[in-house]
Amino acid sequence: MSSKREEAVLRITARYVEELQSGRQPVLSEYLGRYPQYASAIADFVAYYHAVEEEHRAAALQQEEPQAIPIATLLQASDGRLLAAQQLAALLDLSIDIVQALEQREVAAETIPSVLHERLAAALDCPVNTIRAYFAELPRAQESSRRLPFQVAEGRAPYPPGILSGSEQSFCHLLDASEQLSPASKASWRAILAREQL
Amino acid sequence: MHVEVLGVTECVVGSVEDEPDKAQKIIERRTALALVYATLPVYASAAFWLAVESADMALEVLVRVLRVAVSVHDQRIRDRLVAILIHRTQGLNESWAYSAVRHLSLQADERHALVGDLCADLHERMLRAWLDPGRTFWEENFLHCLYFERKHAYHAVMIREGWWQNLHARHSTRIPRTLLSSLERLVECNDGSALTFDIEDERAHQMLLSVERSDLLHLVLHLPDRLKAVVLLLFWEGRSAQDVASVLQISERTVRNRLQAALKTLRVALCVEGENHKDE
Repeated sequence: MSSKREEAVLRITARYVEELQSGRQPVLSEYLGRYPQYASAIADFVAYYHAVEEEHRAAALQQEEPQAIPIATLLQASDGRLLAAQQLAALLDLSIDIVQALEQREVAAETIPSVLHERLAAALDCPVNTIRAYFAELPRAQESSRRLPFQVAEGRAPYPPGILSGSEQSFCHLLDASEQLSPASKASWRAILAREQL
Repeated sequence: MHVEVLGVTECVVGSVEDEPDKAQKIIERRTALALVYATLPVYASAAFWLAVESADMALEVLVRVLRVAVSVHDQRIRDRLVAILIHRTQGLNESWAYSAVRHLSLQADERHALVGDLCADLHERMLRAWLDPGRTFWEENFLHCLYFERKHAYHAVMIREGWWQNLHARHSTRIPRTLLSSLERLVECNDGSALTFDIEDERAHQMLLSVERSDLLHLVLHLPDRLKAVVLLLFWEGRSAQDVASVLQISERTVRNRLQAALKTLRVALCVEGENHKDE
């Protein structure tokens, strides 16, 4: 590869990695379509990056991950700044109805893509594991029953994956059911879900 | 398009219309690095060494200083700067090397030796790149250039050590559903007729069933470069053959041919591995 060509590929792929690391989901076909003359080199790097570097990065980040600091709502950033559902929806590329369902923890945690965790962490300026911990809590609708003084002798039944309890639904179902989310945003989220095998 | 920052002119890929904030980001990054470089204490003074040996010093600036030392044939300073750069990146590279080979079934001493080979190859490549003033991106985004050198080193060592085939199939892994369904799906031509991909070897097809989604990228990694884009777009991004043809500006027939070539390569690799497992 000539040095001029290599320099161009470096710049293009650096942008891809920057996008990825900032929590956005770069679309490979957009890069390949924009620079077909470098398609092979870009695809080569992207495959390597996801197969080796990203795995290494994730492992390193996991080791350094800070302790989760509990948050009470998704509508307040770590600096105390309040966010309207509409504002948060715009930041996440979601609709208000979905943001409200997320805020109410009506979505099964295991169906939420990691991209959404990252976007929420960036929007609220808090660690990703804080967001994960938030969704791992019971849905708000069930919180009151948790506060009852009665003790339940048995824990939650180990439901098989796919069977969701109570008011929880899958993120994918929320997308399908939303009448406010634009078709473009739905398509973009479906691609993310497919990539994360959710 | 060209961007000039503190006397350094560089070509930016793409156009301003494509990405309006691109030029601004480049200017900001280059300005910040150029300012660090410009405010360095007098070359080779005690304060200079204090600054360049500080853990906060940008690696991009260190490369730029190294190139200055090379240009004035200052071997002593060159060697010291190389030592600093190696020292700053060694831990990172060793952890990368262990991570890169962790999927391979190796004895501890073999793994250690392979990691040593990877690091040695990588350091040689890094050194060559740092000493080449034509590779200016090292002075702008050190880490990204490092990713590229690691990619080259990984590829070279894996081929040299014969891990090419072994990476293609591992015990207890499963094929991604998207890959499976794609293999079984008929691809439509422009005229609406269906294309079929020959699965010549049923056993090889079955072997593909033992590959996990995360391994798809590892498989792609070992395909020839010209086949990678097609396989990634079809199986990783879930595009149709028609989309792939349009994105890569090639005909659907070429997409089909490249896919067949890729599947053939993967089938061969999987079958070889399958034989190895049977022998064990």
